[in-house]
This record gives sequence, C-alpha cells and structure tokens, in this order.
Amino acid sequence: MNTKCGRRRINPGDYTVIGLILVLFLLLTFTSDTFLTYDNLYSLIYGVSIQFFAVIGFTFLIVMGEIDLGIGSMYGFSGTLVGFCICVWKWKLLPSILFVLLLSALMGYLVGWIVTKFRVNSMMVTLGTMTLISGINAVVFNSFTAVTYPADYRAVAKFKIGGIHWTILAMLLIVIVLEVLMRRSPGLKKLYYIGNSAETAKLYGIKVDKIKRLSFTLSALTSALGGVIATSRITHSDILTGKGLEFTLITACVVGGASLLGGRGSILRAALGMIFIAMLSNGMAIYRIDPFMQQVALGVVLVVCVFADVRMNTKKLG
Amino acid sequence: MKKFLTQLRNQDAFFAGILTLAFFLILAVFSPYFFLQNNFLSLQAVIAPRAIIAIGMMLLVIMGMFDLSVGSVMGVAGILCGYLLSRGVPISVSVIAAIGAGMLVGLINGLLVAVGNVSPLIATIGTMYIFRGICEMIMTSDLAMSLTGFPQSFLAFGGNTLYGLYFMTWIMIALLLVVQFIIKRTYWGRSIYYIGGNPSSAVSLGFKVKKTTIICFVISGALAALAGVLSIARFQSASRYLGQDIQMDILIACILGGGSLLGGKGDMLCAFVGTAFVSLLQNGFNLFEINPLLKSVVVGGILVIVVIMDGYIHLKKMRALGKV
Repeated sequence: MNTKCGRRRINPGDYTVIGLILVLFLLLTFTSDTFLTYDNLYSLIYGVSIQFFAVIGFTFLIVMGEIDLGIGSMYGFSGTLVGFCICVWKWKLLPSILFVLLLSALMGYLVGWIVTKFRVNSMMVTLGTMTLISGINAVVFNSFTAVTYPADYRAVAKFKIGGIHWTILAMLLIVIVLEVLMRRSPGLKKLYYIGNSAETAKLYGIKVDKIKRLSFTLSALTSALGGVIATSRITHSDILTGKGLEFTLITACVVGGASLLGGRGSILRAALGMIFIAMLSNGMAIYRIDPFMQQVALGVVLVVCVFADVRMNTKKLG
Repeated sequence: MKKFLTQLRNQDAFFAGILTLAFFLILAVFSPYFFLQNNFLSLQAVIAPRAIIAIGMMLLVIMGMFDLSVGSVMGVAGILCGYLLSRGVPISVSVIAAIGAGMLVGLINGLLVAVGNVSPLIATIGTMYIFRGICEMIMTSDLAMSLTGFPQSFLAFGGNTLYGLYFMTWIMIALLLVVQFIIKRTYWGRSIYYIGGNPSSAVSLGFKVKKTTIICFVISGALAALAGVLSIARFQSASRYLGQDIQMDILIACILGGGSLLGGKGDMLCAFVGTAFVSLLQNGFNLFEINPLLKSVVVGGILVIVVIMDGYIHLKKMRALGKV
C-alpha cells in the first residue's frame, strides 16, 4: 500500500470517477434536452455544495482508515437544534449557530477520545452515537411545533457572492486548498501515513491519537455546518434531513477511489464522487425513472466500482 | 461455586445478560400489563424474527464481518413468498423459493466479500440498496394490492400457538440451540472463532476462510428470508416496511449482547440476549407510556457504554499481557 500515497505514481483506479462523470455527462447531454441547461446544472452543484461540507471531515477519517457513521444524524440534528435555539430559547441567529457548532465539535471530540483512549473500533462507537444523536434529534424535533424559520436563518443558505451562492464558492475554495495541502503539506500528508500503517506512523513520531481526535472533531463540526445550511435551505426542520447520508458519503468517497482500509482517497475525488451521485439521481429524475430505482442504481454503482477497483489493485500488487 | 461464578463472568453475554435481567425484573415488578398474554404474544412476535436474523448476523460478527442487507432480504423474501402464495402456489414451494432467494442474496454478498475482496460494509450496503429499491418498486406498483389472500394453513402457521409460544418462537429456540451447538462443539463451528480472531493466521493454518465466509453469508441470507416469511405469516400481509432499517437494530443488538466487530467474540446467547434487551426496552417504553422517541437515545447510549466497557476490559487484558 505504501506506493499509493506518493504523488509521483498515478494510479488509474483513482481517476475512474472522472471517467464515470464524463460518460454520464455526455450520455445525459445527448439524450435529454433539460440536463444541459444552466438552471439544472446550477441547482445540481448547489445541492452538492451543501452536502459537501459533511464530506470534508469524513474524508480525513476515511483516509486514516476510520469511519464516522454518526455524521448523518449530526447533519440532521444540528439544523433542528439551531431552529430550537431560535424558536424556543429566542436566541439570536449567530449565537445559536456558534453554540450548535461548538456542541457538535465537542461531541466529535468525545467520539475521538473514546476511539483513541479505549482503542475501540470507530464503527462500533459511531454506530452508537448515530443511534443516540438521531434519537435526540427526534426528541428535540418533536418538542416544538413545526414552523418556518425566521428570515435571517433562511437567508444563510441563500447568501450570494457575485450572483453565485456562497456555498458553491466555499466548496471550490475548500477543494482546491485541501487538495493541494493533502498532497504537499507535511501536516496533512500524515493522514495518509496513519492510514497506511498507524503503528509505523507512531514509530516515526506522528501523534496518531491527537490527529485522530482532531479529525473526529472536524468531521462532526463540518457535518453540523452542512446540516445547518441544509436546514436553512429547506426553511424548516425535517426529521429526514441527513437520513442515510453516511452511506451516500461512503459511496461518494469509495467511488472517488478511497479505501475503507485507509491510506487512499482525496477531497477532490470525494467531491467528484458526490457530483457523480447527484448527477445520477438528476438524470433519473429527468427520465422520470422510479425514485426507488435510484437506490438500486446506487447500490450497483457502489458494488461495481469497488469490485473493479479491487481487481485493478490486486493485479498490480501482483 | 467460585468456579461457576468465574465461568459466568467470562461469558460474552455477561453484561448484556445482567442488563436484560434487570430490565425484565423492572418490567415485571412495576408494570401490571407485562405478564398479560397479549403483551407476551406481541413481545414474541417482535423478538422471534429479530433473533432469527441475529443468529446469522452473529455468525458473521464472530468472523469480524456483518451483513447490512438482512433488512432488504427480509423484505424481498416476504414479498416473494406473499406473491407466490397469493397466486396459489403451494406453501412449501413458496417458502422454499423465498428462502432460496435469501440464500442467493447471501451468496452474492459472500462471493463479493470472499472472492471479490470487497469490504463487507460496502458489499452489503450495495445489496441493501439494490434489494430495498426492488422492494419499494414492487410495493408502490399495482402489484402490491394483490398480495393478500394467503391460505389459512399458512396464516395458522404464524398465528397459532403451541404451549403458549408461537411456532416462530419454537423455530427461534430450535435454531438458537442448533447453531450454538455447531459453533461451540463442531470443528467447522470452532473454525469461525479462529477466523474471526486472526484471519491471516487462520489462512496459514489451513482453515478454509473463503468457503466459511460464503457459507456464513448464505446462512445469514437464508435466516433473514425465513424471518421475512414468518413475519408475513404473523401479520397476514406483505408490507412495504417489512424489514426496513432493521439491519442496524440487529447489528446493535449483536454488539450490545457481547459481540465485537473486531471478531472472535460472541455466541448465540449474546445474539438472543441483545435482541431481547432491545425488544424489552421497546416494550417497556410502550408499557410505561414513555416517549418512544427516547428509545434510540437509550439504545445508542447503552451501546456506546458497552463498547467503551468492552474496549477498556480488552485494553486492561492486553496491558497485563504486555502487548500494548
């Protein structure tokens, strides 16, 4: 696995996602009138840009071979809690958002602390936090009457810079910065070293536990941020917000060439993976294919991608 | 006596067993409705299918894997069985076809994981999506309306009791005992533990890891399908929500019961105790009229605590051996 983190060696398996997007893009462009319109593509990217926040910290974890199944719940919970703070506690917008982000970061840190302190499988712990947080979400959600949130909260997702929603610009900026940093900076390259072999990384003096804790914190924080924006976009809380998001994100990361064993994956390809999934459901919506068929397609894509990737890599490793 | 206590303490299901027992006593003492026959029957109808699925899941958990497609398999098998029955196919053929479909899905999972080297999380999420999507497509089409009118003898199979227990409960008990015997006493069964404990050395010791993996996935699929068939016999209809989101409950139950996703731990007692605990909790919330939304808060919280406790004990053991 060591050869794959170096930037000099290009792994064809890492770029399947670009090919997939191209093929799908061409297919949809030539077979439908509505796909290649500015409005459609813009709303597609806008949708992705909000969910994208959740994938930032998640990619860090995947690269290290850890996983956080709680992000979907956190995504839904954060939006609900901001609404709760505003509607029930009558807080101002900014303090509510800061409070929720702080709380989620604290929860993420706690998960990271549990994982590193007791050396337990992160999937087991986050399976627990996933259930826990979605339960809290349901309780909070039902404790106040459903209302459309005040205008200043609704405006968060609608804020535009130069005619483009700020989330899209933020996504572009974050992708570029993090992609460069993860390839070049010694700090973020440590993630790959840990993912390849945590034991070796430890021997070389990398503070594995500290980095893991920070990444879990970041993962919870970014997914909470994404959730706050998503709730702002749909103008009210929805109990289904973020449901199954963790699986979508896993699919996105894996389609983007990440391995659950760690050591592979990048923020750019995770974002491309999300765009691919969004495009897939967009195309199906255009063709009025049964929405449940999308699940089937998503499942097939996930399995086929991973299978092809494993085949390619085992052949190369000999 | 002391030896007995140590043995008891060393059971994987120790913590969960105490929790379940305590909870059972609380329910028995404080709720006047707990021992009513209706409550007892509905409790069985909840526990039995879940425990049957948990048997297959626990086999995989012991091997350090899991199967997230069980809920979808349960749905697909139930719908298939309902379809065949409503078209007048004999009961035995319908049931065997449904279980065969479950085994087929299990085989796909097993081949993907064992031969294709795909991680179980991805492979089974994939099949979960695929078959849940198929379920939803069938049940939102016109076909869904026609899935009724099952033969009386099939419904009797789900609704009749023998010595106060449903048939499905008897099936559950029989399966639990048989599988417990297999994994504790036979060569093949013990090999599951070795594979879960250390997969790479199990390969070098000559255990047939791939074959065992595939067989366990097939068993898991078959049992999930059986649970689906039993559920539609009990509820007299194939529902769109059959088995939806059940996979996480089952996995949580297995880990709560004393299994570990790292493999090598757990047995059928754990599977049963974990399932019983989660179901009793649900029952308790109903009986005491507590907000049912709090249920997942409690389950999640307890799961985290159990995982921490498990990790702490494991760490202490490893420290004592000087391995950390």
